[in-house]
Amino acid sequence: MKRSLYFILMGVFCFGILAALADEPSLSVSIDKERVVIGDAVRLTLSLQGATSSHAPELPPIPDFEVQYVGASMQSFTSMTVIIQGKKVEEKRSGGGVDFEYALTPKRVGTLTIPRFSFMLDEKRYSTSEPFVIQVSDFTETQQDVFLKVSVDKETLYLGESALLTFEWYFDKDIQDYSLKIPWYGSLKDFLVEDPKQDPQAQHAQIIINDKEKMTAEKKNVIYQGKRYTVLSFQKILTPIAQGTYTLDPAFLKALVVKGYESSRMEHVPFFRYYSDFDQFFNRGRRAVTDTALSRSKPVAIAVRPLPETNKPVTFTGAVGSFDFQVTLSPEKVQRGEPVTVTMKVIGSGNFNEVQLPDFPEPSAFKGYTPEIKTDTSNADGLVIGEKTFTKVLVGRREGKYEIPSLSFAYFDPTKEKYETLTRGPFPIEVLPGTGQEEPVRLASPPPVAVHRGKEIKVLTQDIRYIKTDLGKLEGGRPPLYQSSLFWYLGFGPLPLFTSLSFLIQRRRKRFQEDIAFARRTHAFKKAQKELTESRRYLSGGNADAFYATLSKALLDFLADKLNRPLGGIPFEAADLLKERKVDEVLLSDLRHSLERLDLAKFSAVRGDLDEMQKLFGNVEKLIFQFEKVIR
Amino acid sequence: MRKFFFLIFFLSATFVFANEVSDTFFLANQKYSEGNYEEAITFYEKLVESGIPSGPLYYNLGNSYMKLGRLGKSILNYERAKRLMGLDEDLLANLSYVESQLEQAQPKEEHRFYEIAFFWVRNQFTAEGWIIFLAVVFNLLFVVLTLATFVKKIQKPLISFAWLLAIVTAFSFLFGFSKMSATEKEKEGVIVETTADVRYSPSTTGAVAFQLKEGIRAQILRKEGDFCYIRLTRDKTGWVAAAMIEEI
Repeated sequence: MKRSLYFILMGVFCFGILAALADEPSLSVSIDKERVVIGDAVRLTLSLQGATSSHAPELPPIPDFEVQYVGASMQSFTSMTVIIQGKKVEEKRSGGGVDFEYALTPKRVGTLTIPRFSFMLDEKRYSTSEPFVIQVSDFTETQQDVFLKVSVDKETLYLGESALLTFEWYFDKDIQDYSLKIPWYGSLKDFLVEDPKQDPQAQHAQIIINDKEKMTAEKKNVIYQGKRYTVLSFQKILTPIAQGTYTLDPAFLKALVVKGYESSRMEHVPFFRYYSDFDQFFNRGRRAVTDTALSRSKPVAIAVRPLPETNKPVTFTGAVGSFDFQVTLSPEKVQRGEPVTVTMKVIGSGNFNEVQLPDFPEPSAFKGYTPEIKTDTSNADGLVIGEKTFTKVLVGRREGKYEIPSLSFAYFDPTKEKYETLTRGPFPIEVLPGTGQEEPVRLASPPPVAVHRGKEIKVLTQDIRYIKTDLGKLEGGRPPLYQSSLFWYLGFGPLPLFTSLSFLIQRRRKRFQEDIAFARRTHAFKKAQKELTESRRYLSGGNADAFYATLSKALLDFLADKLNRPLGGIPFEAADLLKERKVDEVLLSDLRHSLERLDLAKFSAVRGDLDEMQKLFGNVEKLIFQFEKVIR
Repeated sequence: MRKFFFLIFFLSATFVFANEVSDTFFLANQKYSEGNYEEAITFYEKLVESGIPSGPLYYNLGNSYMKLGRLGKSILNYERAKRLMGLDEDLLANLSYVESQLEQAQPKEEHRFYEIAFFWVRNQFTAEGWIIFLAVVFNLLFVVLTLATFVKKIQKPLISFAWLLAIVTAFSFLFGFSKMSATEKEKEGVIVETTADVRYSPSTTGAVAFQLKEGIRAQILRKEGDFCYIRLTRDKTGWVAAAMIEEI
């Protein structure tokens, strides 16, 4: 029992491992054939069972083959029921997956090998288990019914020189099905490829190239080597952008050519035989008998040479072709403020994208606007033809006679195999005095202000801007400020006054500091007034000694300060000094008298009565007032 | 109490007047947007006659005249609006557009270099602007002088600055008074009729010196009877019928 349980558990364990392994997608690889002719493709299928990814894995490069992904298809599911010891353990859906298909086109004849390779899908690495050997055989174009021709009009080109590539498919019988491979179609990286203009009068037919790309080809009937063919053709203008030797690999065609038609069984039915026209109309009753035709074009080699370095003009910018250079200046005489248009035009055939027109500094008397550059190209006879125009507007600002210097355009002419330089000018311009109106200049289109990558906004119509819906502040009726006297008083009065006063005060303060005589003289009267007040107080208080002392001090201090003399000598010299200043004799007499009275009262005990004291006070006060007026 | 009633009456009258003004303006704008420019002009002119000092009113009137192709009247009203609105973008754009539509180019006076420089500087401000600027620099000059009196440490640079201010003040005085005099004395007008004859004498029999097309601006020097003596440039002066030109 234990043993059977052991086996059961082991069986479940193993099943678990197997189930886990079965969850991992398994890879199988297959090819559809082992023998091909050159140009035909081998189909390689990667079958990933259990995979769900729809992203095609990217295959590594396979030597001697060109790999192209064709598409993916989903596989169908299968169910599996697991029964152990008569019991249904699990029902599992297995199988299902994705087939990825690739077309491998051999590049050469011989025995080629698709080696083992590995790739990544959904972060898992898969490896193929075995290589495949493919026999690639050449074929001889024995059939003249269907064939391809690829040609270029020039096999050796200069860098920038254009060549016309022509593809032609000749056939003289109906084609039921075909596969056309053109390896270089859509992958010419070192060339600028342009489609020439198609003739709208010609017949056209759509062809499928490399199983996916649709191309409208021109259809025409031609006689070739004495035989009538239908030709489907298209052309490309190739302009090399890098030097080197390029080979356009052969184009390959595999076609089912209708050799004839077999009668159908319907013709045995009387009705359909009778109405054979009706039958034919619907193309029933006839079965095409086809034959497989293979054709390969010859490879085309294009050698691209660099442009010669010798004699290369300084002004050469890469233009290759055949060009003419025209410069016009219109008008040659303008009024001041009016525009002059300088137009430079390069006309011809060649690589117009490399054509650069010379800008020139405008004469100082002109204002120049940013030039407008316009390119207009088309093609004819396999050449890119057209013109590039450079228009610059100058506006004369000062009258006089001026000159635009000569302008040069250089290009390389591949047919002559040399550089050509076309020089035009110089061009005289005369600016006439005119109306004197300098701005604004009215141009047909406003001059561009700055160079932008995108297109400028075009003003389509000009009109006035819309009305205002708000009346705004109604304050416009106020008279101007300068008509108000108050503005003048307040705007121009206070500060100058303040400044003047400050200045005077400052000057006076300085004088007080520097001129002692002035300071004493100025302060003398004020000081005397103070002392007189004090003296009056003593007088009314009856203090005679103090009265006489303060009154004497007031008078003597005043005189000393006014005359800028030491106090001690004043009683003796005051009268003389005042006399020198031509003070009135009456005043001097009063002064002498007052000084005597004061001395007497000061140095003796003689005191006058109150009346006399008041009289003396009045005299001294009067003297001080009088001297204040006289002594300056 | 009587005073109170009078105040109430005055305020309500002002309110009613303001309402009436905005209603008329709204109505005029409506007429304009309907494309009825003539009626719009009637309403706008009614507001102008009532003495409403509004830049947008003149601007809208200028627009209405422009729509009717009356370029002279349009420029006249835009110029009036300019005096009230200053550098309004819409106004300048419309004025420039109308000028581009004029049949005749505005004659420009030939000036010597220093005259051009003087007028260029003078026209950077209005007369009021110049006088305010003058007041500012003048007062600044005295502030600097006061500082220079008291702050001895930086007295030298302050004195240099005061010199500079004194020069600016002198120039401001020059430009300000020149502009003020020009504003007060020189009256500018716009030709409002299609064609106006400019004559050598203030009479309909006077010989015609030249003709002006509508929209041309001219300086009105004086009036005599029904004629105005106008000046365009040094060599282009003459008498034009007063009805032909309107003062801005």
